[in-house]
Amino acid sequence: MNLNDKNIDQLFRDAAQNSDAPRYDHSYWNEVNSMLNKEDKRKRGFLLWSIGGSVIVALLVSTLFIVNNNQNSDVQLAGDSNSNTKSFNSEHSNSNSEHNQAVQAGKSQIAIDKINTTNKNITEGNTTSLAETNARIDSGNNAPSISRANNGLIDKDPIKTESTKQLPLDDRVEHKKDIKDNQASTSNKNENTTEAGLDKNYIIESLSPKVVYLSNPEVSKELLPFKLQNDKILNVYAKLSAGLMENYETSRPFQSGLFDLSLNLEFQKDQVLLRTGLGLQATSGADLVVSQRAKVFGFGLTTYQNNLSYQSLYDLYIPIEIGYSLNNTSFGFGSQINYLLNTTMNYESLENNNVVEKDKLKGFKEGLNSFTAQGYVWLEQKISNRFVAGVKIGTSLNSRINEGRYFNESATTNPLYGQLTLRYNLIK
Amino acid sequence: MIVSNKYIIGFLVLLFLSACTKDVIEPLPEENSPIFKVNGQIDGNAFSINAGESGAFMNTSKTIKNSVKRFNGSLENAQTEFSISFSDGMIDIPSFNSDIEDFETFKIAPFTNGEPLAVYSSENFPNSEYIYDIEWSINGEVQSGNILKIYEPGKFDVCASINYTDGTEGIACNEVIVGYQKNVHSVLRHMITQNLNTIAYLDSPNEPIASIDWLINDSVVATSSSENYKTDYLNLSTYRLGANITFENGVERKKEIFVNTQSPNNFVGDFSVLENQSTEHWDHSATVIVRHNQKEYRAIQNGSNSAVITINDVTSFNNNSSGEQVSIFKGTLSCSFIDLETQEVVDGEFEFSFGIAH
Repeated sequence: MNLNDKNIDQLFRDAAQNSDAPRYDHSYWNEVNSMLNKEDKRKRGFLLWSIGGSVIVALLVSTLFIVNNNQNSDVQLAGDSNSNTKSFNSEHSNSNSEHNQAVQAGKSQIAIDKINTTNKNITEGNTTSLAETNARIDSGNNAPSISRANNGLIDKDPIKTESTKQLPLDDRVEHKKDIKDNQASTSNKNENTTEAGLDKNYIIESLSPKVVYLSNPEVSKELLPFKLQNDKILNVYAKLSAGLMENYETSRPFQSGLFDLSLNLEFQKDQVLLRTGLGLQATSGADLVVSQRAKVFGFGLTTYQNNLSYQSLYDLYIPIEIGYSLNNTSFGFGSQINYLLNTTMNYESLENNNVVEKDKLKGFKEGLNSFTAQGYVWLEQKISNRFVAGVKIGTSLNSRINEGRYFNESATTNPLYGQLTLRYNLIK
Repeated sequence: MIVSNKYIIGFLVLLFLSACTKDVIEPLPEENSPIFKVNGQIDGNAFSINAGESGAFMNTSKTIKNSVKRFNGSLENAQTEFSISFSDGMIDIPSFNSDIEDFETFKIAPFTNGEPLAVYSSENFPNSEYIYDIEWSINGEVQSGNILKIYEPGKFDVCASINYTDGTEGIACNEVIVGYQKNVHSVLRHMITQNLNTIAYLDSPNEPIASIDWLINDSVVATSSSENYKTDYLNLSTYRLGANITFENGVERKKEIFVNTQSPNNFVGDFSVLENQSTEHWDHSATVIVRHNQKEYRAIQNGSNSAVITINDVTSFNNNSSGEQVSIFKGTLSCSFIDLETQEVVDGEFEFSFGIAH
């Protein structure tokens, strides 16, 4: 039979009639529903992994930061020693040790360009200007320029260039006793020298920005920026924050209060700051309302409703902040993970919209997530060695409301907030 | 780097200050689906009503109508109503406890369509020729006219105050049970002796007598298990002679006659026997009313097959607002209904889960 002899449309019609039309099966919905549930679980899992991952990354970065910082300190010291070894002859090796001791005692460095800013404060007895010193250092021939610089700085200039061998007079006697020991250590460090006789660390150090060392601690306190005075990379401080927050129920600003008290650690590498700690956060006048409702059929319909209006929320939190320090000002961003410790709330029980019971309760977390996160930006200004004032603006990163048995009756779930902060350095 | 212990201690103190003190929140009741509901059709129109939806409410009550207990339920909203009222039975046996939870079926109650169940008039009295007129009262309420018609079933206290043609008067009150089964049939009669004593006797009791309290003008003068009583000499020409009878099967009846020793024809006999005019019985029957589409229907017996409500399950539910126990009756009904306005008979069938107070 030729296909053209048959009406092709008829063929399709026949085929369609002989086959059952697809029918809806309830199992399809179950299948789709299970897929949707998986999606929700994935989202929750993603959030948890994100938070957990962030914490782990922050800890790793902190660890690396600390380890790296310690190593750099070691390298710096080794480099100083070796550069001196290569720059001077054997009779200068004693001076090298002295310089090494000076570095260890003071551990103060400053970029050369900063010397210009502090130059005005140098005593009148300084016969060699810093500009001149800089020029000598920048000439690239370290040994001669250092020698010239030393000639000019000895006895008079409290600021010494990189290879300054001069120590404060009081320290000289004690440090001379250590020279022999340092000679031994110097010989060990020579193992790191290249075939050409150059120390590897020296090469690295030569490529680094030029630095000068302050040999007089008293002068350095006056001249150097705050973060360098103690030359510390780790700081411990307490911080008190107080501010206002959007009200959960009305979403109006300035109706709720937010107060923090925390104990923090600050790691600093150059101008980069990494902070973490542990704090308590109190939210007052939150009006965070979650409700639970049940429709119960009997002779008629009775609607039962519990309204939980959380007023105060107390969280334990771990902040993680990254910032940048510029002179006396620092700024950055941060986030904190909160664990809800305690609450106060106004409880209201209704039957068919008539209030049957009211109470003030404590300690409930019904309808709330135990763990929440906040994100914020911060700006701080140093007031004194002890106190730093600042401002912080942020918002919740996830909702406090755990919408399961309870549902949200608040206007906002992620309120904005702003705080003024006062930091107190526990270590001067 | 050393952090002073006082800072750490202070921080820990703050942590302890924030420790929890937890009270208790009563958990909300579990949500459920409607408990009381009726689904079906009447006259071909679908019928569905659920308590708690569309303003529907399940009203339940236990009432006494015409001295008979009724167990009621009404599921209704502004547009629709389905009500069932179960009647008590065996009402001449007060000690009989009708537990409606035990019934598997309830017959549909008779529908009299405005016809009286009992008619009382002077014609019913054997001495009617001496009667001038009668004033009837029922449950203490005086009725107009010489004829008393009772339209509803129940147990009534009926009094007949008769004026005789010679100007004398006589009065007697009887307990009348209309529309319910009587478990004993008997009539109180009397005769007057030559000594003007009265002999009263209970005629034709079909059950053994347990005891009789004999009363003269409401005062008990004798108690016996004999069906006869002969008065001593009474310095009274007229009096009411009553008998409160208890039969061995538990039936209790109150009967009274009026005796006139001077004019023996001017007596009032035991007219309670007139209660047997109606053969319809409402004992443990169900009155079903349906209001739907602005029409009101009532379930009726129609045809040779007895219309009944079939109860499939009974479970205790809760107390209603009056403190009465309410049970959920689940069952079916398929019978004829009469449109109470047009008298049109239609078919209806329902499946229900219904609340009845008892």
